[in-house]
Amino acid sequence: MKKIVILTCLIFSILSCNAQIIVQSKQNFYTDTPDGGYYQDTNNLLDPYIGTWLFTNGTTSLTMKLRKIVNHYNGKFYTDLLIGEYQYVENGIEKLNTLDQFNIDYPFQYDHRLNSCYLLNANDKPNPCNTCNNSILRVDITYSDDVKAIMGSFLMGLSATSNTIANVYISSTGIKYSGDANDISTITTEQVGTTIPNGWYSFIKQ
Amino acid sequence: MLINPDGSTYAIKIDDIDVFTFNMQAKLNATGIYGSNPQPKVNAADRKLNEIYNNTSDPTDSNKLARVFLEHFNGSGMSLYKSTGNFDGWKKLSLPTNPSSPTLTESPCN
Repeated sequence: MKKIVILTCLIFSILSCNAQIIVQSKQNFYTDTPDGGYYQDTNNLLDPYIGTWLFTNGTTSLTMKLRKIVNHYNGKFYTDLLIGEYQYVENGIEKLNTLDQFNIDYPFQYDHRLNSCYLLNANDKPNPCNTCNNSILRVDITYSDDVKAIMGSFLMGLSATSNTIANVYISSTGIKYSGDANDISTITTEQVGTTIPNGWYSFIKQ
Repeated sequence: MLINPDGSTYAIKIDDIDVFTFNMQAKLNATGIYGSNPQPKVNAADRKLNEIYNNTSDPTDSNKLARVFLEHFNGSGMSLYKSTGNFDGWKKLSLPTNPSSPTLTESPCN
């Protein structure tokens, strides 16, 4: 029995040593990550984006709330991650609002409507940001639009003039994909458009 | 067909649907995202191409867009074409035999 306990401890210690820590940076190729690797935000590159951000233009507004979680396992690798939810009001009419789900901890945190562990330079394509701070990496936040059942990106960078202003390019093809991703022959596409218009948005940290 | 802001126009042709399907399935699977919903997998695959483009050196390479595409989809059962002007002619683009060559191989279609 004692032998089994020792062996079990040994196996666990070997397994824990095998978690490859990779410093989160702009150079990461997340889709090539070895199974069980850990993208750690050692340099706190995600932190400037934590908080509540507000865009307003007359009676149109977009509010997003972001928080950071650490050491989240996505089924393939571990990563520190920005997650959040948002509300979109257009001409006084609320089109999307998932802010009440902001504090939920999902088993798979990518289920949040906003999520990101992707970093990019201010001048990276697509949609380079000419008014962003070049010394602070942007984040490429995946967003889900529940109304249209599509996904897209919030390319978010801090302004060159203030860390409480974020310049965000919102981008989506507006293409809805249906079918089984495990059988590509079943996948169909439909151009459905976007709820939030693509383009540049200037947010102020609240 | 894709028209870029700078006016350059590209088209792709599926040469072998079986090879193309197999490779596209492999690229979706390689995203490491579990589940049957195609949307996040397509999104991740698209992001990977962005990552590769932005991490590829030599920003002065005028063929960078086409080169990254050809390298990423090499052997995927499709070929890439670039318009020679006002859609009156096309040339097939392919990777050079010598990988260090700065130019792509161009084969006029007409």
